[in-house]
Amino acid sequence: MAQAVAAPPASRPVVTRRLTPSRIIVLGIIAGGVLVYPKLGSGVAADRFTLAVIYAIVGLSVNILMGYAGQISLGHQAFVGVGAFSAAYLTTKGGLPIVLSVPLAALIGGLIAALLGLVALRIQGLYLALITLAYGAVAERTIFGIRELTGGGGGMPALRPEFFTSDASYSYVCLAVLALLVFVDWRMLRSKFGRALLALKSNENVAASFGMNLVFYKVGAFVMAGIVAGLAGGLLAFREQHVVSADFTFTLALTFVIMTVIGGLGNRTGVILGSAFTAYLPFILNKISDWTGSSRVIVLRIAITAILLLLTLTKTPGGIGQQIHPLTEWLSGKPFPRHNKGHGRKRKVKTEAA
Amino acid sequence: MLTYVIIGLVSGAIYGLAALGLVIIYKGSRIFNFAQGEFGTMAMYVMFVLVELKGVPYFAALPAGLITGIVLGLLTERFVARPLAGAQKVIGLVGTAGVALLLIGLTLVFADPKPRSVNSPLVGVGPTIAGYTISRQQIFAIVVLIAVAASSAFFFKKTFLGMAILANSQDSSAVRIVGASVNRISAITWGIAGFLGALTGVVLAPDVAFYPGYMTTVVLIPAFTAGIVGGMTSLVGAFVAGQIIGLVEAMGYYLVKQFPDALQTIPEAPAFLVFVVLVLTLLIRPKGLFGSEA
Repeated sequence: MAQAVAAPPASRPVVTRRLTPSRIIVLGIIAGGVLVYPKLGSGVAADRFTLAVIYAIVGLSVNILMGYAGQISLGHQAFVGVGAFSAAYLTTKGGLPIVLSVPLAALIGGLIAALLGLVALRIQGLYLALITLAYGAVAERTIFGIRELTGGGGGMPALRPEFFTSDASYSYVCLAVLALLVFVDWRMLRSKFGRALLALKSNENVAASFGMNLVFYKVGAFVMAGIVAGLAGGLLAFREQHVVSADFTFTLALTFVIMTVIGGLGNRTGVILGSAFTAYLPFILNKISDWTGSSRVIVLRIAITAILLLLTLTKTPGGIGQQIHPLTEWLSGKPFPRHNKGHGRKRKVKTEAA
Repeated sequence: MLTYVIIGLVSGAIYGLAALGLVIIYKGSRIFNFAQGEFGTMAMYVMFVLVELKGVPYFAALPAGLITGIVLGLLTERFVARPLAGAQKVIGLVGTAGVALLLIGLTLVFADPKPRSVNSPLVGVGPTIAGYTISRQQIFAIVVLIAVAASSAFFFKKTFLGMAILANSQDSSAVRIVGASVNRISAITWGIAGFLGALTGVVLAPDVAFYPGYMTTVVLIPAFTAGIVGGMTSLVGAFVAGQIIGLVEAMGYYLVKQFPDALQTIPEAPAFLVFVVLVLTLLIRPKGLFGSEA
C-alpha cells in the first residue's frame, strides 16, 4: 500500500486528436449514408428507418435510468405509451398542431415519471423493478383501456400534418430530434447533473455522504427519462398514425431494456446501434424468410434477442459499445487502439513494430 | 360470495406455490427470478407432449415434467446466475428475464401458439361447497401447496443443506471458509426453484388452456405480489400471501359482477386490485407481513 502511495501516478499519455482525411471520409460516408438512406427506395424503407430512430430515442431514455443512474425500469412501454396517447389525443381531440402536441407529450411523460420517481425514493434496488413493472402493467391493461382517453381497444388516430405526410420527410424529423437528444445527452453527462447520476450508480451511500441530494438526482433521472420517452412516444404516434393500446405490452418493455443492454449500458453510440438493430431485426428476419420461403424464421426473433442478451451479460457486459470501441475511438480522433482493454483474451502489446 | 372465496383460495394455492419458488431464490441469492414462471410453462408443454401426443397417463408423465423444471433451474444457475453472481443485482434480474424470454422464444419455435390443455384423471366433478363445484384437480393443487410449504419449512429450519443455503445468502465467503461449496449450494437452490416452478405448472396444466409464455403472463405478477406481501424471505409468508392475493383477485371478479356499470370504465379490475395491493405493500410495509428485512 505504502509503495502505491509513494509512486506518483504515471502521467496520462497526451493524446493528440487529429481529424485526418481518412477519418473525415469515413465519418462523411456514415453521415451521408444515414441522411440519404430514407430517400432511397420506397417509403417502406423510410418507415423502417423512422422506427429505428424512434427506438434509438427510447434507448437513450432507458440508458439515462439504467446506464447512468443505475435504476431499472420494466415499465418503459408505459412511458412511451403515455407520450403516444397524449400526442394523439392532443392533436386529434384537442386540435393542436404536431409541433405543440409532441413537446407537450414529452412534458406529460416527464410529469408521470416524476410521480413514479417520488415513489421510487421509498424503494430500493430490485423492489423498484417491481413498482415499474406494476406501473407498466396497470397502464397497459387499465389506463390505456379507458375509452374516453385512448379510444379503448380501437385506438386513437394521429394523422401527420401536410408538410410531413411522406415517410421520408417524417424520418428526417425524427432524425433531427435524435440528433438534438444525442447532443443534450452528451452535454448532460458532462455536467454536474450527469456526474451526480454516475455517482448515484456507483454508490448511493458514498454519494450522499459527499452531500449529494439523492432525492433531487433520483427524481431528476426519472424526469429526464420520462421526457425523452414521452418524446419518443409522440413521434411514434405520428409514425403509426394510429395508436393502439395493444402495442404497449410488457414484452415491449422487456425489448426496450434488452436493446439498451445489448447496445451497452452507459454507452451512447452502442445504445443507439443496439436499439436500431432491435428495430430492424423483424424486418431482417422477414427478408430471410422471403428468401428461404420458410415462415418459421420470423418466430426466431424472441429467441435471438434473448440469446444476444444472455451472451452480452455473461461475455461482453459492455455490449455493442464495447465491441466497436476501437472504431469509435479512432473516429473521435484518437489513434486506433492496439489492444482492447478487458475485451476477450488480453493480447500482449507488441513493443515497436506492430 | 362464498363461491368467490373458494375460487380465490384455489387460485391462491397456485400463486403461493409459484411464490415459494421466488422466495427460495431470493433467500438463496437475493435476486428476483423472472424465469420462475417459464419453468412452469416448459413443464406444461412437456406434459402436453407426453400426455396428449404420446398417450402417457398424467401421473406417469408427472416426473418428466418435474425433471424438466429441475434441469432448467440447474442450467439457469450454471449459465446465467453463476456468471452474474458478482454483478449488480439489477443485471442478475435482467439475466433471469432473458432466460424467461429465451424459453418463451423456444416454445414459439417448437410449439404452435394455439391454446393447449392436458388431460388428467382428476379433472371433473368433485365435492360441491356452497353451490360451487371444486374439481379434484383443484383439491390436488391445494394439497400439494400445503405439503410443499410444510416440507420446505422443515428443510430450511432443520436440515444442514437448508441452513447452508440460508447461510450462503447472508455471507457466501464465510460459507466458503467453513468448507461448504458455494457453487453446489447455489445449484441446489436453483434446482429446487426449478422443481417448484415445474410443480406449479404441472398441477395447473389440466385446469387451464395454456399458450407460450402462459405462466409468465398470468401467474408471475400475482406470484411476485404474493412474495412481496409475504415478505420475500418467508416461506410461511409466501403461503399465506398467495391465499390473500387469490382472495383479492376473486373479490375483484365479485365486484365486477356486482357492479358491472361502475367498473366497466376500469378494464381488468381484478388484476388492477392485485397491483394496488403490491404498490401499497411496497409503500407502506416493504418488508411484507412476515419479512425479516426490507
